Amino acid sequence: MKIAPIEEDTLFLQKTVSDLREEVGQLTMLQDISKQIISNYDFEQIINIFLDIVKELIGYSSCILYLYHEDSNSYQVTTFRGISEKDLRGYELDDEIINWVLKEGRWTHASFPERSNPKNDDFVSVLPLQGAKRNLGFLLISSDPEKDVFTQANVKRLSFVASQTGIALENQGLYSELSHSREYIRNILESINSGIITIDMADRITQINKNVTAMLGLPSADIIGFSYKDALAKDLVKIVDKVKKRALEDGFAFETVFDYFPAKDLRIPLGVNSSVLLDDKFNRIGIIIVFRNMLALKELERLRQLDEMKSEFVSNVSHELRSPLSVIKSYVEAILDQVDPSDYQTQRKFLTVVNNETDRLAALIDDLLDISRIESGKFEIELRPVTLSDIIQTISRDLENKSSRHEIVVDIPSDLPDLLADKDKMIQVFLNLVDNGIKFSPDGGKIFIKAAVKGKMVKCDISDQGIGIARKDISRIFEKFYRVDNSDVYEISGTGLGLSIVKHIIESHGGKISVGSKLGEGSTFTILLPFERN
Amino acid sequence: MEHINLENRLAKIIDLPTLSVVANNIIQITQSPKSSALEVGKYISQDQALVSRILRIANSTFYGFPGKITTIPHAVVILGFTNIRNLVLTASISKMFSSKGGDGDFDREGFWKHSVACGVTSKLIAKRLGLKNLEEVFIWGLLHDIGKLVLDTYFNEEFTRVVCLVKEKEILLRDAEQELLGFDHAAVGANVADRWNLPPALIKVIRFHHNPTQANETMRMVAIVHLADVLCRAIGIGNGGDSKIPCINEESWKLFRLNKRTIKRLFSEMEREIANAKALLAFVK
Repeated sequence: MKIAPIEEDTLFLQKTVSDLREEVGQLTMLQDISKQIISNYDFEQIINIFLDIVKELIGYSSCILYLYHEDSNSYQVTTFRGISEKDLRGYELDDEIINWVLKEGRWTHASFPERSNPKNDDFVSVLPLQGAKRNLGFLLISSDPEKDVFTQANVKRLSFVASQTGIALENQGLYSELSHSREYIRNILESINSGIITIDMADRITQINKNVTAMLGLPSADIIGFSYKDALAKDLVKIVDKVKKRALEDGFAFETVFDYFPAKDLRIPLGVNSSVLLDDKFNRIGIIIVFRNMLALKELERLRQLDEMKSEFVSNVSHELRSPLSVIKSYVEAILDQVDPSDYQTQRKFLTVVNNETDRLAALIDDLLDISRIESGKFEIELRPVTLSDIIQTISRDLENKSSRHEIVVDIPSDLPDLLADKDKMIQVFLNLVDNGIKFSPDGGKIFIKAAVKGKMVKCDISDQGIGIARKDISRIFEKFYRVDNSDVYEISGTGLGLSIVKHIIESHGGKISVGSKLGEGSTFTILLPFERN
Repeated sequence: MEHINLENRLAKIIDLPTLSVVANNIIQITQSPKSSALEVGKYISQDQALVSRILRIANSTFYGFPGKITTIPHAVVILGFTNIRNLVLTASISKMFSSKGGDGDFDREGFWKHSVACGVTSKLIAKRLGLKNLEEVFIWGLLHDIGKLVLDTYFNEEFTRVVCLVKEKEILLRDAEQELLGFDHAAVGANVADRWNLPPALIKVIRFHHNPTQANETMRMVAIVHLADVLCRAIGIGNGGDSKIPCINEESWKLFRLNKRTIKRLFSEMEREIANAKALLAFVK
């Protein structure tokens, strides 16, 4: 049995249907408006649109937005409308109520504790703002009680707008977090002392830092997105090809060093290594290539070697000082204790040894003093006309005393002009070079001294028939403390200072010294010195 | 032969249970978007007994509101339209059935315990799914087995035989219903809910809660209650007339992407919330 609907029911149904239609229209419009909220990443704008829409929907007289602050672990006023700052205190909710409202997640009437005094008899409600997983805050809305705003439709609309705003605020938070961390990583990338290029699996450059543009002298930083094969210079492409291949095979490439010429006459030693870039699922997404300027490293290496040479020098010098002293000591002891006081001949022989060793000591100490003067910039020379053959005569006499079995062959033209030099220093130079020749030649070898005018200088060659100097040592023998490591061939004493001092003396005269040598055949030291012209 | 007779009888008796005037009005006006808290309050205030019942539960631990609710319009703006409608509807239904029948072996108290637990659990599942209007879901769970009350009240003799058969054979209530009556409480409940003009979603839930797949586009809603029903039986809360635990519909299970860990967490949430719902149990009894 069916009862025909009475007139009242029909009217009610008609009204409800039309209300529902209106409601659907409203919600559709709301959805469009809320796109403005959702697609926004600007905090202020999200809040403003949100408050505007709420105003449009229920026409509040005032509202206060509370948002959660992680630092204080509480909800704090973020913004307010239609109310003065001093009146805010009248609208403080108890935590209990806040928690209840957020748990329920619905728009409800706001129940204030007695200490609060909301204005007049306003209907104050609270609209929770929630993200996907957490509470973000709430909006206190004060409206005219006559308006009867608490309707089903408004419940739906406000909850819709609030949920959209919640999502937008959460997205905004994530977005700003993301851009912060991106900036942080960017800063790390820029602050790293190395040059960095990343490429994707299609060889396109995906990231570079400023260091790499400086280091590689790239014309522009706008090479992101281009294939490295097009963006980089040819020699660099080859290098990158190599480390890329390595990285793809092994996951990484150890550092290799190459010379890079970013401009003509500019050579930079660069170290390059690479590794594969993986995503969180361990798929290969590209390769990271790291360039390192090795100049600093080379300098460090040089200092380290210098340090090593100094330690070796100290041990050499100690040895050099010690051995003549021991000889002197033992000969003097012998003279005092064992040699017959009347045996003048033996005494004389022994005293000659003592004399020679004392000379050796004195020479050594002179060397040390010289080097220390050179280092402190106090090395001075006194220029006077000096005849080269005089010098050679002097050193020949000195060397005769040394009872060596070497022959010194001198070839100096009689019309050779006088040198303009410091005589004592010149003797030191020639003595040193000839003595070197003797030291490094077998007994009976010949030392040639040959001089001639060459251009504006006097050129003098001192050659021997000794063991020669290896190619790797030749460029370094004038360095302070440097000693050719030939311990396996000869046991030859020295401090490694002589040639360094020689070079310094020659150069302070405005001259030049060079050396040519062949292992096993001998060496020739060539000196160029200015001469007196008048 | 017997089946046809029963269907005829159902058609006759179904005219008998009607909702109270207030419940009818509230269901009607809460379907209109423009109805306000004051209007709803006006209708409820016509029944003073209902007013005091509602205020009592509104101030109970079930809602846990940290304040005092003194008037019905106040209750509406605090608890919201759906909660108030649920209360009016539940009050009306429980009153309707408490006065008649229930002399058989069907455990009415166990029935309401199970219903309240289902309501609470449905709400928890819906929350997990991110649904907003949880109060709507609550009433689905609470009233999904309303057909059993109809059967126990208006088909008491046959329903008593059904309950006996369940105990004897240890089968599901709905299988026994099908065997003896040719239809089950889901069909009866949906029929009655339709006559009461209850929300369409609620009617679908009542009709298909054993088999959510048949609900087609509303499957997700129905599946919430289906799952809640099985979970409540699994932890043995209340009594739906049988003690067998039906299988969870496979598609519903997949829909919620649940696993052992989430189920475990759900169980502990259920325990807490069901304990909070004691006041509601007093409300429906």
